[in-house]
Amino acid sequence: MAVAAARVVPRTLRTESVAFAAMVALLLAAPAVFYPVFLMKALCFALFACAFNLLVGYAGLLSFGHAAFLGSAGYASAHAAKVWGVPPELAILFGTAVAAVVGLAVGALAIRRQGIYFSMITLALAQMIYFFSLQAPFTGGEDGIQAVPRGRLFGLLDLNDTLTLYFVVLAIFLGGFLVIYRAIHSPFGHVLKAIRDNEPRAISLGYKADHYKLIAFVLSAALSGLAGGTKALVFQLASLTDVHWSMSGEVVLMTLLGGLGTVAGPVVGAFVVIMLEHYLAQLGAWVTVVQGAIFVVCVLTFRRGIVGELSRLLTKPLRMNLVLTVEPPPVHRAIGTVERAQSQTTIKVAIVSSASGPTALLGLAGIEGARIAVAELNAAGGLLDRRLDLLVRDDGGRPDVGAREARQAIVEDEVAAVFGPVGSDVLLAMSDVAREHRTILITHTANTERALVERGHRYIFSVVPNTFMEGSAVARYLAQRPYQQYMVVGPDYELGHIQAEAFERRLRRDNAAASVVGRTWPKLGERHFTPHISAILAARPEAVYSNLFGSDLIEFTRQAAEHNLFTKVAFAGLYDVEALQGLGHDAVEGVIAYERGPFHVIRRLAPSERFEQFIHAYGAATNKYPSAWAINAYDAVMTWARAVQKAGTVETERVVDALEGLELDSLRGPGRFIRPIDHQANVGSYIGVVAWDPSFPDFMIWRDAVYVPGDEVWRPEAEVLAVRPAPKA
Amino acid sequence: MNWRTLLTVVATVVLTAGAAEAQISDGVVKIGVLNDQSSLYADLTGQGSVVAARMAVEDFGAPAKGLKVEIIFADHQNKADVGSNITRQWYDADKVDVIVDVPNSAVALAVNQLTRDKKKAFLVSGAASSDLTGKACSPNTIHWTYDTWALANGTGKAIVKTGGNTWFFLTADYAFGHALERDTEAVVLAHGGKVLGKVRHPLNTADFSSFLLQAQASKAKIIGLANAGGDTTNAIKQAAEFGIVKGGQNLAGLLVFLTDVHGLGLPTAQGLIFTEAFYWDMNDKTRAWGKKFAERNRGIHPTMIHAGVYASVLHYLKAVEALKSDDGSGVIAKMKETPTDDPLFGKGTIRPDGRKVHDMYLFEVKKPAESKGAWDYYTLRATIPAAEAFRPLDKGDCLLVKK
Amino acid sequence: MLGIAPQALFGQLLIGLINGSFYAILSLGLAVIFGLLNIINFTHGAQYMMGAFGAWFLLQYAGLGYWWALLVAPLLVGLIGVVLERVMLKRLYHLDHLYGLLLTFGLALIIQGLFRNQFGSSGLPYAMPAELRGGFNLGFMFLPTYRAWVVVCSLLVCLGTWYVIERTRLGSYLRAATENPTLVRAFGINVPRMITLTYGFGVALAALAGVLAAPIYQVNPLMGADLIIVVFAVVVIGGMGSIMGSIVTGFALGVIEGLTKVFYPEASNTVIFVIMALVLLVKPAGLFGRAH
Repeated sequence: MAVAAARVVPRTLRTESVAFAAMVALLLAAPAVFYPVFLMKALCFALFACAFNLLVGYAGLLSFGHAAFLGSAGYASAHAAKVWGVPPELAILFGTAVAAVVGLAVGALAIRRQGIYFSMITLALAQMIYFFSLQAPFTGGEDGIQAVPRGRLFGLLDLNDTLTLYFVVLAIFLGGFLVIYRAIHSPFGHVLKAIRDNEPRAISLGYKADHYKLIAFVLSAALSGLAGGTKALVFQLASLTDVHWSMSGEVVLMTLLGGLGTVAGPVVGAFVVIMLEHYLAQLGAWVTVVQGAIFVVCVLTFRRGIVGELSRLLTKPLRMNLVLTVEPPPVHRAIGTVERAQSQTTIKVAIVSSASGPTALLGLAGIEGARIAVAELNAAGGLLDRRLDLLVRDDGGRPDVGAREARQAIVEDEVAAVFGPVGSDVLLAMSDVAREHRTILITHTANTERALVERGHRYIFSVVPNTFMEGSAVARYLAQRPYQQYMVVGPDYELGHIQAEAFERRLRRDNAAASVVGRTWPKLGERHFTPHISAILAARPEAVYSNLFGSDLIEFTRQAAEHNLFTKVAFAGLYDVEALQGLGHDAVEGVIAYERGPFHVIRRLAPSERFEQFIHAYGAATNKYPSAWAINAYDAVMTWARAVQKAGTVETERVVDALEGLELDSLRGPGRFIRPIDHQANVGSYIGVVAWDPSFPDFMIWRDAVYVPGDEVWRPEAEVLAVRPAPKA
Repeated sequence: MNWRTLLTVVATVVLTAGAAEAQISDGVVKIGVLNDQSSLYADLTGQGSVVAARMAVEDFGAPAKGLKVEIIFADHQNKADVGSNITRQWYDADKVDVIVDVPNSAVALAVNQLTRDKKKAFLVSGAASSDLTGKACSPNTIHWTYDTWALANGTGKAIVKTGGNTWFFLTADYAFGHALERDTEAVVLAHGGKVLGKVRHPLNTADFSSFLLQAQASKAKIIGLANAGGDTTNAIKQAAEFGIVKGGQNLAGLLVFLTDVHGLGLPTAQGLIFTEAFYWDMNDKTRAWGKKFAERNRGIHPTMIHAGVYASVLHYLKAVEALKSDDGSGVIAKMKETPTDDPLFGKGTIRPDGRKVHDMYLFEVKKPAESKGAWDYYTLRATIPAAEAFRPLDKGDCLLVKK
Repeated sequence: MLGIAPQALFGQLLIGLINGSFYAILSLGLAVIFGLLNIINFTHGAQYMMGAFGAWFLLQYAGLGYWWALLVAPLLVGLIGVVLERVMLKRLYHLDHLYGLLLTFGLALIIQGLFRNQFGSSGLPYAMPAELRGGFNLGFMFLPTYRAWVVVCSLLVCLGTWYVIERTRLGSYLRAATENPTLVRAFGINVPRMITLTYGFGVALAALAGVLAAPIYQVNPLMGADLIIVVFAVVVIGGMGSIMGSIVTGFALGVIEGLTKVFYPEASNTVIFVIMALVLLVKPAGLFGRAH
């Protein structure tokens, strides 16, 4: 699926080898013309910047304390060479090892947090190392460790000879550079990039994100240490400057200027910054002004850095995508369209969903489902003899972005209909836009009932059971069981609360003895559920109703299993096909599961050739079984297409009329209709118990599955009217 | 990486070339003035030292004697790595023959080592650590002006003798501060005094309140300030704020310069006693030179460091002229052989360990009423003859000294 | 008590409280800015420095003394902050927060560099206002009047700010805008302008701290550079958007630092960072923070 953030473009091995060889040749010849000590300084910093870039550009972790590794390695190497009299190669290795250990300690602590907090922890820990270096007797405080002997490398090469030293430093730099290069292009590197772009998705694919990040951190720290140890020997001095936070800022500057996430960027950036400092040294404080100006300019207008901008400029017109460049670190932005046709022979629709952010797992599945539907329609000759174009937009899980993208798609791209999103809060925002611009919006994942009832209008439709229906269905199912004390856990936003309300209402109605003893609300995208798990355990319920979903549910399940939660309480959760595939062997047998379209149940209840084809197409694209998010998205597109066929036009008002009362064109089976009063389809909930099945060796599915038709649990029409009058435009 | 980025790398490296091209020039005596141009020691050395060096070159009359002399300068920002990088670059690429001044003992020690390795010459005026003629002595270095031992001996002895026999040290946490504290403590103890406590503060501290509080709590009669420049003046100002002197304790500024007193103002600085090697208002020669210097230095009168730069450069050029060479080790040796004579320090000698010896003076800061105008700040309290002012030759652990 | 003379202990505690006053005002400004803009304002240290210089300029060139400076300098520096926000920070709101951090970091370098060029690093003297000279003899130490004034002024400013933000309608708009800017905009409130003014206010707080610092610390271009790192730690510990948190934590950490100087002076520089790392691991939202 090409919706990944990186514009990862294939590169030819040959061009890269040639370029590398040329760089080596240049650097070999350089000391003939330039002052070797200056070159060595630049090389050490280039290595430092490359190591830093590994972390920020490829793992997406901005460390603000990298000086700690450069400096501590410097002190270690200097001490080893001067006080212990160790030969230079061992001194440098020792420095590298020390930096790796420090990196392990810092990384293990810092990785637990993300974003700005991660950066702040690295800063704090680096400050501690700075002050330790200030106080510790062996570092010499303000004086530093001076007169570090260079010695003879391997007993043979006299490093006091500047030229010999230069070639040794060059070899070290190239070695480090190659290590980084290999790491980036290895499977490890790809996983790292996947984690950077979309961590929840990577977790759902089974990768232990924290381990990968820690390995990247230690590698980055070790190579920074290599640079630091080498530098200490070249300058025969290890001082506080190398552990000060301004050094951490400098390496950020070099990498940002050169180009974050590019291979050559840090090298270029390092050379440029060192050169600037040299030229401007006469002018004293102007150096800091220029450095600051570079930061500002880069952040405002030059985020790709020198190498990044150059490659972009050069590749755009030539269409030769040979450079492995990557967009700046993940940020909410739209994803390019599949095709942008301008002619009258196409109909455009848009799906606005989350391709990034905490709900990406569901969003991406839906996008793929919609894609397959559009492809099928086009393969069958199109819609009204016109080709159907699907524009894909990423809301990142944010209502304001979703609203903006929807508005743009409607106003600028003139789409005939909008599908999506995942987040119920995003749905509410997009729904306002749809109403304002009188465009059809069909939700196939976000299911807050409020979008249809309290805030419903003529243009919004739902092909997914809404919160009232889903909550009530599960409540009805559980009410037949003997549990009396319940605990509710759900994501802390619209969906979590509204659906829990519906659940509680139905539960009380169907089982008077039942009560809810507590509720706990983790944040969407939460990674640490221990406090919530503890809250549940402390409240001692008999059963827990959860409407966590996607990667949140996956993480929750893993952590809750460690606390033996599932042996202590009955648990009902949204264990859909995505979650179960993601959990694999970590899923828990015997928990109650509910969802909106498990393929293994649909296969039994409503088998069809078409469904098998869909499963096949989905598998070909993603290597997975389709989840309800994909199936329902497919259904949404197909149902809209059916309405268009029926109306004979894409004109909104006519299609709306056609949709009301229409039977869904659904993979889930026949017999589902859209009721006019709130535009809700009577699609039902599937409930079962998680279990292994011999036909699926890699992930669990369900046993004892039942289907609760939508019309048995939806809000009666009279009540809908009571809450609001009939839907108006 | 493809050829496009290669192009970028090439371009970058080519552009950086200019930064590092070596200029071959011989037949020129190139003097590098390396000191603090922008931080806490900028006023007592800084551009003033460059002026002093220039005046020395002019007074020597280089052109008339057929000697080409060039002066360059740089800011070491009080960082050992910056200083050593500049030094390395100067010696390797820029053909500098001698480096002068270098306040901040940490930097001076680094420069000392490099000078020795590369067999150039180093004339220290600004730095204080007595290790430069002790443990770290070198055949390529001459330590002019003053050092921590001389300060300690002058000020410490004088104060203890007048009754200040319990001390608390407030020390700048680096080579200089440690050396000054060590040397002063030795003097205090040798004369029957006691050290009641010490506290170390980072270089360039803004707030001394908690350290001063500790000094106050110690109830020592004398609070010795083993620091310099901005640190000293800050400590003195804040001591006034906290009523330390009113509370009965006295401050001993172990290293105070004319510019510090100027910055503090006489009302705050009056009564301070300290040792210096030079004061512009001592005799006619010094007065004449001082006035000339002030005109070229924005009205700021010379400190002893400026005077040291002038005198050392003058003596150096004389040695170069006599030797007809600017080879570092040779010139230093020649300078040690030749007795010194300049309008600022008078007649003097340089010892085998690199120590220049001359009289040291104990000054007291005048009360505002006693001063006739700006820069008229000191009263001479005592003269310490050269023979007693500096650490005895055999007590320094210098390997150049034959026992 | 614990082998340390009570005099020394109380004295250092009081000094700690005074230092804490600066931490409190500075972290309050940072917390206000982060709470609303989600931007880590690295320029805060430079703006603190500009406040001190502002006081010096006002005295030098306009003859306006300390009491005027307390009002005018923060206003002027706050205005500069408003310009900064309008011209530069605004463009970064739709991006990752870390870009804001990098931008403000760069701005801090520029500002500090420019001032250093002009004024050198050694600093300029600023006379203490006559009304606040002298001090009280408390027995265990001599407390300068000015330092007592610093504590009082900072308490007033902090509590005043807290009151406005937590207890007035304007403050409730501000807080609502943090949670849900779209909704607040729907109420007809000009959210972008509010954001700009909030940034200006936070910057003005930093400048005020600078004016307070001018008479006792040297007015020099680098006075904010190392201080800002400590203030970050304080803000993170308190909870990055929490107003009361930053105030309480500022004072508390000043005191803790003072205590550390008594018992274990070598650790006095690091103690705040150790606490920060611990808090981030155990309670990432900070001691008083609301989880975002």
